[in-house]
Amino acid sequence: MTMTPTEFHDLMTRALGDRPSAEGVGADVERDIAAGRRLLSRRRRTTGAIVLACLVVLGLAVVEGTGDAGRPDAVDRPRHLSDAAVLRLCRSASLPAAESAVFGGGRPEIMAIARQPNLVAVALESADGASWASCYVEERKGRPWAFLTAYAGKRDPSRVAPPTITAEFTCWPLDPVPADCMTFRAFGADRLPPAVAAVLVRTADGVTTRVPTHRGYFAVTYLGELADATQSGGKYGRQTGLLDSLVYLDRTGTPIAGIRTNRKSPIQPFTVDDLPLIYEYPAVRGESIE
Amino acid sequence: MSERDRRSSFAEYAAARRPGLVRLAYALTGDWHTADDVVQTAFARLYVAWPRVRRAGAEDAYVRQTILRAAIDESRRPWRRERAGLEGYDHAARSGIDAGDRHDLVTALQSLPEMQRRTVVLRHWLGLSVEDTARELHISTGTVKSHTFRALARLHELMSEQEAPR
Repeated sequence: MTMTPTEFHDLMTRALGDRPSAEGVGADVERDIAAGRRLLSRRRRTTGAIVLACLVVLGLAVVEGTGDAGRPDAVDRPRHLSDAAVLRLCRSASLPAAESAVFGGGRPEIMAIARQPNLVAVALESADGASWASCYVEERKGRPWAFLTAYAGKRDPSRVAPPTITAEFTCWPLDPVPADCMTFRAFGADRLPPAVAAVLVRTADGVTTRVPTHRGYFAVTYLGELADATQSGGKYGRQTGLLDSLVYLDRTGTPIAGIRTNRKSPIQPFTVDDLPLIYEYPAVRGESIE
Repeated sequence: MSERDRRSSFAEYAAARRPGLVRLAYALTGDWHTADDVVQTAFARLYVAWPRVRRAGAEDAYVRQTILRAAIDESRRPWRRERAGLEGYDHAARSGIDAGDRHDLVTALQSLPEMQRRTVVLRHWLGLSVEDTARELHISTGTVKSHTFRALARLHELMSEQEAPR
C-alpha cells in the first residue's frame, strides 16, 4: 500500500493551507529587508577579510588568539584600535534605532572585548542598561569596518536562545569549502545569565579557549588551523563541527552546562559529561533593535 | 539598481511569496520558528543577489534553492538554534486548519530520510516536474522517482499507524 501523490497533496494542503495568507506579513518583510541589508554589508566586508585570510595562510600572520587580552601578533590592525575608536566605529555602523538605544543616553560601557589581528568582537551596554549590542570590527581593504546588532536588554521568556558564536573557514563564503582550506575562526559576543562565570570554547583543532564573562557578557575571537581535513566536517559538510563543544563554568570553575556537536545528527547535540544542555542558561537577549 | 528600487521591488516580491515559503520551510524542518529563521536567511541572501536574480527572472528558483540549503544549514548549527515549544503546536493557529492533521503529517514527514522528504515535498506538494526536482536537488531523475515512491509508501504506513489508536 502507498499514498497517491494526490492524497499527499491534499493532506499537505489541508494541513498547511493551499495559498499564502498576507496576514501580518508586512512586518516580516521589513525584518527580511533589514537582514538582507546586514548580510549585504557583511558580504562587502568579507571580501576584504578573505584577502587578509590569504595573507594569513601565506605566513604573514598568526594562528591563534584568545578571549582575553593577549598574545603577540604580526598584524597590528584592527587589534590595536583603542576602545574609543572601536566605539566610534560601532556607532557609525548602527542603524538609527540601534544608535539611539545604545549610544543615545551617553557613552555605552564596554562589557567584554576580544581582539584578533583582523577582528575585534565587543559587547556594549547602553548607559541606562536598557539595551546592549554585539559589535564586530573587521579590516577591509586596509580599513576597519564595523557591524553592530542591538538588543533589548530584557530576555523574551518565550525564547530560549543559545549564545551566538560563529565558526567558519576563512575561505567562506566558498561553498563547498575547498579541501585544502584549513584556517578557520570562531567569534562571538553575547550576554548570558550571571550564573555563568566563564565559557570554555573547544574548537575542532583540539584547542580550548577560556572566555571569562563580566556581568554575563563575553566576547571571543579565535583563529585556528586544522592539522588535516578530517578534524571537522560530517554528513553536512566541512563547516560542521568547527566548534566542538561549549561548557559553562560557575564562579568556582565548576562546569554547570555544556553542549557538543553531533556531526551525524546535528539536530540532537550531545551532552558533555552528563551536564545539562546550555539551553538551561539562555542568552539574555530581547528583540533585536533595527 | 538604486537602493530604493532594490528595496521596493524586493518588498513586493517578499510580501507575495513569504507565507507560502514559510510553509515550505515548515514542511522541511517541522518547526515554525526554524521555518521563519530559514526563510529570513533565504530572503537575506536573495536581497544580496536581488539585481542579478531579478534580471534573470529566477527569483522563485533562487529562493527555493536557498531554502533547501538553509534548512540544512540551520539544522547543523545547534549554537544558533532557538528551541520552540511543542513541534507542530508552537505557532499561532490558523483558522480553518486542523492542528491535529498538521501535527500528524509533519511528524510523519520529519521521520522520513531527509532526501525523501525534500523530494516528495518539491515533487508532489509544490508540483515540480521530475526533471525540475532532480535539478533542484542535484540528483538523477531515477533517484527522484525512487525517493518519491518510497516516501509516499512510508508516509502511508506512518499515517495509518497514527490513525489506528484514534
